[in-house]
Amino acid sequence: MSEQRLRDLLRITPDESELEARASRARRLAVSRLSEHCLDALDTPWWRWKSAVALAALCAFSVFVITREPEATPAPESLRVHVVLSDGTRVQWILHDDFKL
Amino acid sequence: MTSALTMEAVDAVRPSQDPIEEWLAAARAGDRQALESFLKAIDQRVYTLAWRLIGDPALAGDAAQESLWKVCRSLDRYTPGTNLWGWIYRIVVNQVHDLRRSGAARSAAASNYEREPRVNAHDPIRQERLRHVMDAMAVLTNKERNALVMIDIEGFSSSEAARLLGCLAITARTRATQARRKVRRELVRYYPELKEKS
Repeated sequence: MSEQRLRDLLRITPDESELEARASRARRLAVSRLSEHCLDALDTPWWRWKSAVALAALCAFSVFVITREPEATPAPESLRVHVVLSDGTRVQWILHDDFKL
Repeated sequence: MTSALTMEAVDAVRPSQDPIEEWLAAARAGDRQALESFLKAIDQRVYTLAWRLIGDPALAGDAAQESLWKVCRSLDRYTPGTNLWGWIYRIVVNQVHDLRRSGAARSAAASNYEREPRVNAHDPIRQERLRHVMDAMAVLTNKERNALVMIDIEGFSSSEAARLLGCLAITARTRATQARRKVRRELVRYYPELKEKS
């Protein structure tokens, strides 16, 4: 008898209206969190996609810069050689691009 | 509310065309309206269980919100045809466990119930009984409280409660017995009829 009375007491709950109010609030908050999560989930792939494209473009550009051949240095039109001999004689050769002195 | 039922009893009283199962199936297929109907059908039991395990209305609200959110996120993990309420209750129990471990529940004394604004306190006798019960349950350890709530209040068998609480059936039964003794000792001063006849 007292066991049943104890169980009855323990099974008491707050007012139905209070339970309903608090449970509804918890549900609404969970649902709004779910909505935010869904929006995030929709946004995330775009964000990731854009980042991935930017990263890929950067990599491609880097590869291009590293691997491209250096521009050919323009050939000198002439080569000048100055020589000073031991007796003080100064000699200057000018070698033209057609290898004519 | 059908809180005092065993898992088998819950299954037994459930009509064959249980809308909760239908809403759940539709929600798993991506029907948002069905998901909201499903949550509406379970929110009070989820909140009530959290409230009984924690004893603090505000923290129970947090635990219920987090549990409902986890239910939404793990719909795919539920196997249709298995014990739906067992699955939901396990999520709530784990959530309450996490909340206690985080320390949030420890700081909330049973007297918080007094400070909480009452949504509807038009029944003073009920409120007083509620306070007596909450104060009495505040003397229990978390494990004793869990066992008492699952076995004596929610009506699960020892083995069912043990599965939900992650312990042996005999452990759950022993804890519930200890808890009952302690709670009775606290309540008998207000309710002399609870005194055990020797």
